[in-house]
Amino acid sequence: MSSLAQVLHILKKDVRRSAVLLCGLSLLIAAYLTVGLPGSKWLGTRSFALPSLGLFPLVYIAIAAIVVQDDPPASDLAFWPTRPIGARPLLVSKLILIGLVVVLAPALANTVYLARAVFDEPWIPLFTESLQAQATFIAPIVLLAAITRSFRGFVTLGILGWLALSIVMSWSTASLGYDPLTRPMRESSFRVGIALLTLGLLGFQYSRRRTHQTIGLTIAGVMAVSLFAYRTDIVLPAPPPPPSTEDLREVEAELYLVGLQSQSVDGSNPDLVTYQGQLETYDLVPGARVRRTRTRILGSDTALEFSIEAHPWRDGSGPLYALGMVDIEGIPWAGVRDEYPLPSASLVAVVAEGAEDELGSSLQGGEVVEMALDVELFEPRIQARLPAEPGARARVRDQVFTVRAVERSERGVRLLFDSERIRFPGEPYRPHWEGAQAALYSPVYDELTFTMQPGGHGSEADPVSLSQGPTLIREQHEYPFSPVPETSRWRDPLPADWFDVVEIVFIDAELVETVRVRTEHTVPTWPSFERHVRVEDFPRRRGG
Amino acid sequence: MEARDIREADVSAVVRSEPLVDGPIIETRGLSHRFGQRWALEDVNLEIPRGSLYALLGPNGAGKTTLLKILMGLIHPTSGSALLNGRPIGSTSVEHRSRVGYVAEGQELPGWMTLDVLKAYLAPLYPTWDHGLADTLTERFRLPSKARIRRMSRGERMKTALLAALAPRPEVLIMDEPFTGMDALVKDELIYGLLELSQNDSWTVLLCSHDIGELEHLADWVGFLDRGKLIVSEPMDVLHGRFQRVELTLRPGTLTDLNGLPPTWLSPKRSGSRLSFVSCDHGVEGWDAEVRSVVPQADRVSTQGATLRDVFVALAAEGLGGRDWEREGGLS
Repeated sequence: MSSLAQVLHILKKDVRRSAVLLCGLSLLIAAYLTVGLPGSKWLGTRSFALPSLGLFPLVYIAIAAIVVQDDPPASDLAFWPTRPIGARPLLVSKLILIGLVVVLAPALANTVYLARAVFDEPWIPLFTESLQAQATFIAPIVLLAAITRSFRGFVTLGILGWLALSIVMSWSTASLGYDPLTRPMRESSFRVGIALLTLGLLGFQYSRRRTHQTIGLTIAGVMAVSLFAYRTDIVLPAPPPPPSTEDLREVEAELYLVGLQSQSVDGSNPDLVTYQGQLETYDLVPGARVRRTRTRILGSDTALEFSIEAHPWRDGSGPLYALGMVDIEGIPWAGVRDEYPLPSASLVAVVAEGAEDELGSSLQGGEVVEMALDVELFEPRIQARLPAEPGARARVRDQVFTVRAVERSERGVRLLFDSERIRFPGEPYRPHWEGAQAALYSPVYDELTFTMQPGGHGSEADPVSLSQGPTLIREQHEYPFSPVPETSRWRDPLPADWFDVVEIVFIDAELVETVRVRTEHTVPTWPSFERHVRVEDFPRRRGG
Repeated sequence: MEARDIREADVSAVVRSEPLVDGPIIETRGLSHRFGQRWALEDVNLEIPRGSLYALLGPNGAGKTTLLKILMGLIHPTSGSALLNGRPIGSTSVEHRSRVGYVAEGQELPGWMTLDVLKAYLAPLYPTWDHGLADTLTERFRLPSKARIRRMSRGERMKTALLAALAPRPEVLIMDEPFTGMDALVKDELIYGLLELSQNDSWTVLLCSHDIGELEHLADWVGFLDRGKLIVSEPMDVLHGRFQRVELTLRPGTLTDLNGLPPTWLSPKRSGSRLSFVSCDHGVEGWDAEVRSVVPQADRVSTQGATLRDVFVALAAEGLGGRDWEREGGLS
């Protein structure tokens, strides 16, 4: 019997051996791909996600262990070593079956499952991540099954090995924390190392059947691969340098300083003095954010470095009417405005913070403050529009929002929807809606615009995955609305069917440009300035 | 002649290995194997003649199973070599395993398979698989074809293993304690089945069993291992010829110290006026004279052929008594 024929012969036998599990696995995967997760927590039914997450790996482990231990290379009482079966065809047939059934098929199924849940997701990274992670997960299991004589030994050693490997992997791949730049490379090197090591050790074990030596080599090899993976950060490319702040386009603006307060705006640091003001930028789009400033007191040699940051403008008047402030990538920004589409000019609120003695002594009435501000310009952008109808879906950045239900009652309207996102291995949890602010907007009743706060009354469902690697993270959100929304902006009562015509608008901001703003301002004379801070509170210290 | 001189002079008579005419089918040269600090086999030089039914005997822990596993390529010897038809036995040699059948107590069988599935799985692996023989043995052993092997009785499983070993018509059949746990009926079936097959097909069978009585009828060659050393390896008829159970009637008050007896007098026992032992050099010229010279007080000497069990017990007792076979060069 040729080697190839022997491979196929053993493969056929192993398929027959694990037929029940293979059928069960196929049904399970088919059910997930066709039906998906039935129910959800906010509908009162318990998700299948948690048991399934444990179930799939258990089935994979069971299949791998059964396939390997049906012809155990570690036992001198085994059947196959007394038969004319070559070690190489045996190993190849095992690897083919495990590779196809327990690695490739789950990786493919996971890719399909995730790509369908979060549409427009590139499937190649999903597939390669799933494949790599699943192979890395299965490889030690195959090796473990090959060096243990019984299923009981496999389970016992498996638990111990899993604990040890978890420690090693956390040390080798997560020592620097999550870094989107370095993680894939670090994980890949570890995975490739583990895969190569496992293949080598399996070859040794099958050909020599010297279990104690294989175990020794395994421990040494895992340590070596971990060390190698740990060291790979040395050759990683350096992070890109920060953008140059020289040669920025200069923009005209006017600065209105309002007053001085003896504590910071948010009250977190009472030792700081804040100097509040407004920067009116005529040719800047809204969403401008001040990055830094160089402030100089004219008529003196004193140059003070104040940090000045944009701050929400909370007044209800003026062209920038903000219903709520959102935080897009840490950028304070007025998310929803009266105007729809969004306006193209606005005021930017600025706050100067400085040490109490410096700021108090420097800023006297009548003095001129010269400022140079680097301003990042963000342009608001409508990411997606989603009808408030069950089943409606929209993708916003890396998330997909799906309206699950719209429930109407006398008490009002309840909007229920899911947000789904793919989480890659090693990536820490980050809340949904990050970077995707939503507003309820009605093109018919154009004054109806609600900011929908991130999260709402939501909860995160259990992560779902058909293989190791990327998982689907699902959050469920609930937004109740009263029959007639209460807002000061209503001038006329809305008809009862107002909810039928609304849609959910997802907005984010895109960095357009960084510009420089130069401005001068004369510090108001007392007493307007003293409304906030008494001048005698500050010891006078003139420059020079 | 001093007892010590007798011992050294007659060592070669105890230790014996019969030369083969046709050349051995299995041969080991200086084979040794160590488990940790303990030597399971030490410098074993074994030759198994082609077509023989070779019984390997020895007390527990003598190294029999280790030797058989090395011959099967299941474990690697620490030193020395094992040959099949003059070619080294390698653990990965598929060809070797296609020519050797192996049945052992405790050997795992694919319990999830039925006998039919097992036969269908094994048949393509062997170019010499005999479907007719497999069916004949199934019928003869009254094995259930459709039952899973794990649900079979112990005897049925052993017969299944034997069928799986015999159906490929191997050149050599190695059996390690195949009769353990079998009732007499099953044992008889197996033994006579083996005899019949062995005689018909001239297979070589290497058999290791504690059922010495059965082996006496089966085997035509015998080897004896003690503490890892092969001390006897010879044809059964030769063994029967030279090993005799001897009983001497002594005059009262004579020969109170048994330590000075010749080394070829195995397991001597004194019971009243009678001294009994197993002689391993009966038939050698001058044997009677030796007896008279060692025990001139003997009034009467009676001999009868030793059974295999007598030989086993005598050799095992010598081993337990700490006899240093290595210094004596072994019994084979």
